[in-house]
Amino acid sequence: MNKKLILNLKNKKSDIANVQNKIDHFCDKHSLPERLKNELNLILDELIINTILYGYIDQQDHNITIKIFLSADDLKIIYRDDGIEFDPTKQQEPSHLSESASEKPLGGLGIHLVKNLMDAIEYKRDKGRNILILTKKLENKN
Amino acid sequence: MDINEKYENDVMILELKGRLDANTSEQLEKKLIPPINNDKYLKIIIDFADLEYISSAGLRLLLLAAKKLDKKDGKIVLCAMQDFIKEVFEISGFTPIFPITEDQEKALAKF
Repeated sequence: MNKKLILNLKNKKSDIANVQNKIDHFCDKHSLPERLKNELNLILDELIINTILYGYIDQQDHNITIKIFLSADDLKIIYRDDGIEFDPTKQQEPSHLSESASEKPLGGLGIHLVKNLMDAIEYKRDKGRNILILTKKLENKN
Repeated sequence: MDINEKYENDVMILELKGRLDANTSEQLEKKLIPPINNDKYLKIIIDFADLEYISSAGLRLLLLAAKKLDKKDGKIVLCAMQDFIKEVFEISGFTPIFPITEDQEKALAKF
């Protein structure tokens, strides 16, 4: 059975609540565990916020497209925006191993969370768009 | 997000309810940062009992508060985290940075 969700939104913070409602509904419909629902919401929240904050230098509306594919083994997210070229897989990650507040960097937290919550991330730049393909393996209950 | 403020002597306690994300972090910033900047409250507890969700915006704000308090010999303690919040703290490497307790009573004992 083809389990997929397609979301189209604009680069506006106010659009995020709607994304969350749709994700909640999708996860409930397919009986996904609460933890996975929370992680999925968090990943998309971080990606969308990064696009909104850093993706554009104009004040225009832009489109973001998110496609989610659910199979027995994994969850695949294809995230597309037409913002400034940005490859999160190539970002020099500041060390998040430091144990004191003063040493810990304030930046890079969103990407760090996304990288740690997903099992694979692939980036492509195509026709002026950033395309991220993120995969998370699912734990089978059996 | 709802924020309930309480005071126990020189400790400011902020009880969060709902979501701490890019949309709501400004609310918390207004309650959390000025008392630190003004040296009004340098002992702070954030109670997460009713917080369901946190994103990097919230983490960044808490880290900013901790950095400021470090410089002033102050302290921030976090308490009563739900499982998902704990998970986010662990993944982002925040767990070693903050004293984290099960409840407010244990948090107060840290001062």
